[in-house]
Amino acid sequence: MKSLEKARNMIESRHQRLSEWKEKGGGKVVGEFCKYVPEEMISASGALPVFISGEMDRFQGVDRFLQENTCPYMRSCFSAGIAGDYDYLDALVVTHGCDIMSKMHDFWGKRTKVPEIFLLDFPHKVNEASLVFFREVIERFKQFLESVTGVEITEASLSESIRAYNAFRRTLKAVYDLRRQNPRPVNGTETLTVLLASMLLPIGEADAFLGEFLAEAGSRTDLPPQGVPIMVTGTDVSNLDLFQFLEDSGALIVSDDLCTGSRYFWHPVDENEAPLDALARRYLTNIPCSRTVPSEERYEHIIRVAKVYQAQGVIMPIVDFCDNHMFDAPYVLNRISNSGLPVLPIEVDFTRGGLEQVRPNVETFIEIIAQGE
Amino acid sequence: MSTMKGSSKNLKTAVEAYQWVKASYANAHRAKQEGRPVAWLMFGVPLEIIYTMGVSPLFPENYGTLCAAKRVGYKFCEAAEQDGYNKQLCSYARTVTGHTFHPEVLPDPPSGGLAKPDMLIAPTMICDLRQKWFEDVARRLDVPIFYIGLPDNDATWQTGLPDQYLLDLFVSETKDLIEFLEKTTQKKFNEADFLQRLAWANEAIDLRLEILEARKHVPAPMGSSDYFASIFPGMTMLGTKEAVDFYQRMLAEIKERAENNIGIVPEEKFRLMWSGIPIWFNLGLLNYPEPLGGVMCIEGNYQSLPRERSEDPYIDLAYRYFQKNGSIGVDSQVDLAKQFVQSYQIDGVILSYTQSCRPFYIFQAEVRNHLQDELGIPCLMLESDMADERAYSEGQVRTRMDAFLEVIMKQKGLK
Repeated sequence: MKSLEKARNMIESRHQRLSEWKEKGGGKVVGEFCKYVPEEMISASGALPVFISGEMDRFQGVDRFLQENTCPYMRSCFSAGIAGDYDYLDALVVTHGCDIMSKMHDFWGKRTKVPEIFLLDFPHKVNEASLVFFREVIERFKQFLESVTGVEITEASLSESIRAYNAFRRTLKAVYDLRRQNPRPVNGTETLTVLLASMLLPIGEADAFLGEFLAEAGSRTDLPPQGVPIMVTGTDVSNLDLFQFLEDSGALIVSDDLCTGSRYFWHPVDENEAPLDALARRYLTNIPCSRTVPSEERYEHIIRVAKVYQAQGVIMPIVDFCDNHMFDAPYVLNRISNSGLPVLPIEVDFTRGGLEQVRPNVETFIEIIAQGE
Repeated sequence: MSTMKGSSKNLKTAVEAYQWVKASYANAHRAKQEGRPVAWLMFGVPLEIIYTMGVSPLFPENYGTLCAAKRVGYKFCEAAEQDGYNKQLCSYARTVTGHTFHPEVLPDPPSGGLAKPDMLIAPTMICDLRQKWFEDVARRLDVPIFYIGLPDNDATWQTGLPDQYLLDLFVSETKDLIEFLEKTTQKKFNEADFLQRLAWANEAIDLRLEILEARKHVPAPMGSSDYFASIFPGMTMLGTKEAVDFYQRMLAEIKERAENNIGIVPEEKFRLMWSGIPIWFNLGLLNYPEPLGGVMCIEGNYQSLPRERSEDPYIDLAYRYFQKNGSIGVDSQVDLAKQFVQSYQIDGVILSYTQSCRPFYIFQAEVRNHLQDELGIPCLMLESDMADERAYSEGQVRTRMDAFLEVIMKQKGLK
């Protein structure tokens, strides 16, 4: 598939492409670690939101600043940051996606060249008081972006951006729905590849790019191996090496509850509400991340997504030192199991060698499901 | 000589403080017998409100420290791990989870164990895990839980005094807490009692500030072993007259020692700071430098610090939460450590690095970098755990402590 090939190249050369895009007058670039950042606002300021993601085995230079008992995923992102990979960023927006991520506000501010950093204080608890609070946070985020870009964000530009993101979410859902077909024309690694590539593009182009992939997939003849349909939950790590590893072990990842995946497109922003209010409401009341309380809606979402995408099993990668998911694990594993689905937790230290350690478990898990078919 | 032992204390009041720890657990058991409500609280809940409502508080985090000090914490940790709780998780949480759901592990637990809660209250501060932990307990014991949804304290570090929208969320959540307690206990909130308790709390905080100031004296009138033995009233009894009386006595004792130049060791030769959570199963480590004339004379965390005050009781509570130096942002922690090193004339810093705690430790390497690079202060990163003694390596700790103390003595011209 041409779009897939293009996506791989885009990811491979992402830093160079983004620098060039800026040089050609593309606009400002704003980094983010977390998909609970209202990207609509960044886009409305004319800037490009870029998702920062870690690479396995990359931790050079980090030990001087971060202890070994910190999330290897964030350590890996930070390694890229201090190496200068993201020097083209005009700003970085940090949420409290977890305790470690929130501190990246300080660490990136102190140790990288990113000039402006905004801490988007996402409430921990969902209620009316938090909504009022978060509305103000988003208003301040708007002012921050206006000062970074020099562009005034109007109600009209924000509404337009919201519509564009909702359109993208619909296309992404259609891309995910490809894996509800039989046979499945694409797998999870391919889907994640185009998704990660789309996150390097302005939203209109991103939507068109996913559209290309969707069209090509519709007439694809060289189907991927039809592995055992598996859903992925656990630490929010949208990592190609991890997905590839699971699919090489006999799975076909049919869906996930990751913040870049099903939790990203499940609920749109209300286009009929005043744009700032709509953004605050949608992001705060979206299917919660593991660090938000209460958790019930997230648990329900995991089971719902597994059923909708006809997963026959669930794999739960938990990255080392990921407190939120680790504490959830005993309960969530039980809950998934009680819903009738086999589930396997795997520990991920964010190295390829570490994945090899768990390969026998993953292969056995998948084989057992395949035999039960 | 083994380094694994309890600490030796120098202040009479520090020795006395343990009675409050024991009383806390006994009071909760008595409350259960008498049908009065017991709440499990995370540190950071405004205690004046809890005491006003006649609720008997228990602090599971403190129980983690108590089990560690009694050298049984790891047994509960193991039980929790058997149930699928990862060994990397907070050892306080593993200890209490093991104790709560596997009492058979230790039929005679320290202080009779934690009385079962009628409710749980968790402020969303310090770390995410505290919420996850209480959420799990609430689900498994089927008791009501109230989360106090707070803004991230890190954010205010940049702006100094908190902005109105931060205060608004704090006040709204505090009033919701009162409503939750009224509903759960079927009792009306007594505003006059609350104001009295707030006054006592501020009085105790002021006394602790005076103690902090008095401790600058050379030779040090109070050491870290005294300090950690006496933080319980300040952390769990704010809003009681007993806490005020206790810190009054402690301040008087410290002042008297300072006036008479009574130090921790006969001849004080160098001064150290302890940064981070103490190693509760081995508090004796705090006395380790003493035979060489070294005194651990200040702690980088757990301090009450000067802050703004307000006539409005709810805003005053908010100011306590948002106090600039209490932020766990990296820059605020670095600045605080630098201030302490300078004002307490510190020659070296021991930074504990506890494997099962992240948010409280993520800034430790930067604290070390700044102290070493900017102030030339030798630092030792001491790896262990706060409550799980299986993570402690006796030989390694002794070797590293000895080498570190040697460096300091050379630097001071003592060797």
